[in-house]
Amino acid sequence: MTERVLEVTGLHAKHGRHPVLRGVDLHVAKGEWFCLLGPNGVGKSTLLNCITGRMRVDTGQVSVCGHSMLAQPVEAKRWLGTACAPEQLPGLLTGRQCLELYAAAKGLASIDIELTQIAAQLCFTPFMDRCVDTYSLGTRQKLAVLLALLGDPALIVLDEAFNGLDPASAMTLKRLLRVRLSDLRCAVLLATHSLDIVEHHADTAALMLDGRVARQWNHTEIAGLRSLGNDGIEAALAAAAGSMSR
Amino acid sequence: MRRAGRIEAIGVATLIVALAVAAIFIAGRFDLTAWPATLRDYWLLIFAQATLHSSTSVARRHRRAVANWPESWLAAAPLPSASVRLAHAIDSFTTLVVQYLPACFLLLAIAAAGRNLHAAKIPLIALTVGCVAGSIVAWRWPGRHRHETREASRYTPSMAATESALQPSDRALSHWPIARAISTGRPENARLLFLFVTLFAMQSGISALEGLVVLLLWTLAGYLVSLLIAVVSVANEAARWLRSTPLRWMGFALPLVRRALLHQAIGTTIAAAGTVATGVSWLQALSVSGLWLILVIVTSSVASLLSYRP
Repeated sequence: MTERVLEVTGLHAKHGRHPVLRGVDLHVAKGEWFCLLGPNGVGKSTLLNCITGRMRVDTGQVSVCGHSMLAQPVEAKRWLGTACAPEQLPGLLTGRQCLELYAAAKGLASIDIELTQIAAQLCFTPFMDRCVDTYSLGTRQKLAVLLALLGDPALIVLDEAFNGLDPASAMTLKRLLRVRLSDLRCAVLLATHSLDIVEHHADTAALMLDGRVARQWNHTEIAGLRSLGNDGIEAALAAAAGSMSR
Repeated sequence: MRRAGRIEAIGVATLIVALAVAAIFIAGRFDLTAWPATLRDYWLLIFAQATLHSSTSVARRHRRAVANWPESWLAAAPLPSASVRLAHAIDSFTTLVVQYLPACFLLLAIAAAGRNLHAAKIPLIALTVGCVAGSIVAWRWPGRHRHETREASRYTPSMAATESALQPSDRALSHWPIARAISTGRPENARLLFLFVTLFAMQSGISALEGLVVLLLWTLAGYLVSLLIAVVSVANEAARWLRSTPLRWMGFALPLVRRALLHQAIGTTIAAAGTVATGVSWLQALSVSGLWLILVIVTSSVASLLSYRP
């Protein structure tokens, strides 16, 4: 059996008094690209925030590489690579300062030369010494992704990380993630609305509705939906959502 | 998000409480009851300062309100223009009113404590007339939208482009509050200080050198206060950004306050020397400086402690 990088069991979380997650269970194995789908406001970002330790959970367990995010948050976070929302990046720091500070916060002894190469492939190098508040949305997104890749993390958590990226950069990023996954260096958990990514890259996809995982498709099922043509995945999502609402 | 907001509110509340305690301590140590009578002699200065402050504050907020209106979610709604103007007026004047009322209250309270309410009359009239005059001018001629659209980082010390390899470093965390403090106090607003000191020199008949010392102290005090506020706000922002990393509290708090504390220590020493040069005794200068540094250390520690969560 492939090693499990992320295990979430019975996760409940609230925004104030409003319950957002109502018992989420999922697991992600090393080498797996896991896509989280669902309409706006069903709790995808909240789930990612709980997994990355940004938000406290009410009940349930989140375990990253065998370390509980509740009991051993520091150990669990060592294995994580998270792309924050572009608007959360510090506007007064340069891209270089962000990367160096984030690497120090992750306790890295050095920054791998591979990251500099990825920055060059994403055409980010010219922006390295400019302040973040001068960046466009796409450039901020590139920096957020670079921060997530720092230190070769075992679990890469991305929240709509392809939004705002130009097609060439998006393709480069997908290829980079695919290489890391095929080398079994990491697992990817991506919240997205892009069905194209699910169709061509996902190993597992889960549909979230009303704070729960309503339906999950494995690699074989996704391949089956792909063979149905352009609307296969869209129709499957609509059918799953429809059956839940009835 | 709610927790972050709560932490921010606690941080701001801590700062306000700390400032209030410091104010009570200073008020207790020094007799302030003669202030209204002293201020009476400086009515022109009060009037000029109130006019300048109200005109720049209202004009800036008015320009921003007008510039932001097309992006408002109500921009396409068929609202009467009078309602829109009223909304802009509330937006433009609220801050000034919030500043004006406590200033009046403070002045009256000090005068009442000295059983000489009459002494506060002229400073109050000068303050009120200045605020009203500045507001009318700013509302009628708000000027052009110039500086508001500039990125905040334009005001931070420039970073030289470097070809060196990336290395993990927490230096940026130390640099961040300084950058925030400098970008908050935009230097183009400093020109008003020169007018202030000129007026001060004109009315009180002090020398140009003394005027320069007052200007230096004013600028320095503004920077030190902005730096303290910057540490509190950066602590929140940085903690939120770095929350998904395995950073420990010491690794967070020390770099955050290191450089800011150094600036505070140097700035406070210069300010103490400046106040001594204007005739204040060494003992008074030292006690106020010490109190300020204690306030800085306590506020910075509390802010980093409240913001951080493993």
